Amino acid sequence: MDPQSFQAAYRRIREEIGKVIVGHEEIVDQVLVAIFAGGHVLLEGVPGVGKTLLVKTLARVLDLRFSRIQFTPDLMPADIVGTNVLVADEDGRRHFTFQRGPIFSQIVLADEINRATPKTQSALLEAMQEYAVTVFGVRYPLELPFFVLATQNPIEMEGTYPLPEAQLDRFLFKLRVPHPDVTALVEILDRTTGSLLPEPEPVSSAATVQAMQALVREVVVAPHLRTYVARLVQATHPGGPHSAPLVSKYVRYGASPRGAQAILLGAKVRALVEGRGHVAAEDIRAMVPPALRHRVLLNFEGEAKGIDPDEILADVVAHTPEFAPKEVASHP
Amino acid sequence: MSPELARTIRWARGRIAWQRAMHAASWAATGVLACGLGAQLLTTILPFEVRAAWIYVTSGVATLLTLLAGRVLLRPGLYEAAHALDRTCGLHDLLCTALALSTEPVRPRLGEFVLIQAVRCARGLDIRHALPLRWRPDHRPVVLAVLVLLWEIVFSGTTLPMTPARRVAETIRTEGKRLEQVATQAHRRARFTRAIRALEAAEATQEVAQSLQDTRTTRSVALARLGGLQERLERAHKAVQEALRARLGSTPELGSAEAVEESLRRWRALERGLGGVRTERELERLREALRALGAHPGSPPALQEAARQALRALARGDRRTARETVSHALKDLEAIKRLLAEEEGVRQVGHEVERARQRIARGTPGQAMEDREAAAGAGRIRMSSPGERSRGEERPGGVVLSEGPDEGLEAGTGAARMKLGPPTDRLRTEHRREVLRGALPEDQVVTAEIRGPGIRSTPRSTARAVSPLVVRQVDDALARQRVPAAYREIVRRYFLELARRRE
Repeated sequence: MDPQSFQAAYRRIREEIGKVIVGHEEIVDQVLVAIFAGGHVLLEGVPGVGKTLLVKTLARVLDLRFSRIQFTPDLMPADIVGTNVLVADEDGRRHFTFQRGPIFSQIVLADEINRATPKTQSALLEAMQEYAVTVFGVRYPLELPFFVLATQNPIEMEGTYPLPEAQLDRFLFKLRVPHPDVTALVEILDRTTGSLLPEPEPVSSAATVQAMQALVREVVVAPHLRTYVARLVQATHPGGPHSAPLVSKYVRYGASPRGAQAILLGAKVRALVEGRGHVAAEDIRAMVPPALRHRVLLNFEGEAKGIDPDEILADVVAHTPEFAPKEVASHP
Repeated sequence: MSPELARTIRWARGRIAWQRAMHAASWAATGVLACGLGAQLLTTILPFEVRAAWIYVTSGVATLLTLLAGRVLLRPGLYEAAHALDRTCGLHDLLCTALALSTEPVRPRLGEFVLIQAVRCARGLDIRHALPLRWRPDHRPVVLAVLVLLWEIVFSGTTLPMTPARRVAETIRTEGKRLEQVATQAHRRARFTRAIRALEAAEATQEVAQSLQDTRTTRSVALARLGGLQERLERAHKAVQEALRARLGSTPELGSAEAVEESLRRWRALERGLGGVRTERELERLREALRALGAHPGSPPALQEAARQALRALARGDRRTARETVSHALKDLEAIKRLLAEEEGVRQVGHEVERARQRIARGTPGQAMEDREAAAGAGRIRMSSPGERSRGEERPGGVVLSEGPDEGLEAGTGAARMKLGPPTDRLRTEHRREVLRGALPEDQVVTAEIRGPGIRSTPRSTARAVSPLVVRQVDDALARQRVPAAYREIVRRYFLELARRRE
């Protein structure tokens, strides 16, 4: 696969999704970027804005196995990963057989992930990180490509278990799904209340997705851009030499190295989507908000003032120079 | 690395260096112009001068030097140039990525793809269009240049009160006034002696002196004007000296007005004698006088020859020719006298101009500087002021002492007033004779005079000393009373004869 075929495949996928999903172009793009970067996405949005439909459509278009887990307070880890059950064979002998849970899919929708207990959440998050689950000492690898799309409702916070920072860090992107605008809403009504419901066709496959993920790793990054990513992440840390002004004021902890990885991987996918074999600075800048917004922890003052992490990240981007001549002085 | 790619990036690097140099040069011009404007503002406080032309020239030189230095020092590296070209042409960091790739030993799978794209892109680039060599529109230097010019036109020479600059301006104005007074007096004298060159020198001095009294005349302008005037006076002085040399030859005795006056007196006596000789004894006395004049080594050759010619004519009994010869000699002497007056007039004015120039150059007003000079110690040779040669006391070693504190050319211009400050009540008292009465024995009274301050009265002087002024007043009266032109010479001669008889 080369960048042109990647771009063509991406366009086909994008068009097919567009038959079902109205609006949310940026969200769809970023979800696809996360899939091809090999990461997972945390979707934040109120109910009914099309989160589940998006994941279903995605699974259909990519021709991947899909499962949905509705997280509730009484959901147990075994309900996700599966468990050993005692079964009797034809001879009447009984033995334990591993019954796979819904995690054994390629696209998993973890709906309202913050409603389950941390213990249950951690079961899912282990699978996200390791691409395998271990039950009674037996390790069961997950089928690749594996992609978790978790959702959480930002409004109803009562009786929820907000994800701890370490677990949030496992998500490549955190995306905010906004309400559709009037035009998109009208289009949704037209498509969903008539007799003919749009049905997407599979235009890709697991193998294609894996090939695309492999190509992403081959994208070239210029030295100054690698430094740029590092400086951007460094700038989210308060008290550092490159800290942005808003960071110094409202941030408690900055982004982890996973944040830098997320930015660069997302930028690589974006470069391929644009038909390029190399990353550009604008790819990096475009990936900063989804990759870092859940990795920047506000301090008390920031939370009290209701500061949006996106404001801080915009400040970080504005105050971080793309090209520092001193740092690339060693280049030819 | 592909040669095309390398060539493109190197070309871009050169043009970026020029662009940066031009930007730096623009800043340099702005900086110099701003400093120049600041210096112009400072001239209202400190006594120095900044001309707009200097600022423009300095700005131009700074711009040029910065441009040349910036071309060398601000040249970017190849990677930086590639990045700048990427940014300018919207190449999404393609060229700098390709440049970095070309130096890496192991390339990723997409490396070749990127290099091919970069070479293709480099071929299609129009570097001249992408990196144009033109000045960025910057209004700052233009605005500053206009402000500098405006200051020069509108506010040049403006000074703030109580500042050193104001003191220098005051010095220039004071010297202008003083020089105008000197020139006015020199003009009067020149009119009396009919010294044309001295008259011209006085008029030129008056003109310059009036220009110095303009409150916005700067020191350099004042010095330039005085310098020009000095050159002019120098030329006039040389011309007069040459004319004198031509008439006098090598006769140093007639180099002074007194000697010429004495000679004139003797020749006039001869002329009168030739007009009214009756006896042989008188004739013999005349011959004797002519012989003495003809053999006088201090007289110019022309006068000696005239005396000899008159003697020969008398020997022939031709009194008329002898008298005519004497009259011619008298005219020669008159001309010499006039030339001497001219020389003196031009020299005096030149001397005053030189003094004014020195005072303005030092920024020291008028007499105060002279007082300091006087206090600087004896043995210091200085130029004498007009009239000082006759009044000044010459010490051994050629040192000329300065005139007294109250001896100015005009009343009240002496330095005593400046040195002493405002007069005390005691000085303002009227002179009166005081008589002290003491307690003495009965019927004995002793009186004694004490000398108090000087009497304030109208100054009086002899007719001889004021006769030139009388003649000047005659001239003025002639001009004022509208005497017909045909009679002017007669009236004038009448008064001159009166003055001569008084002598």
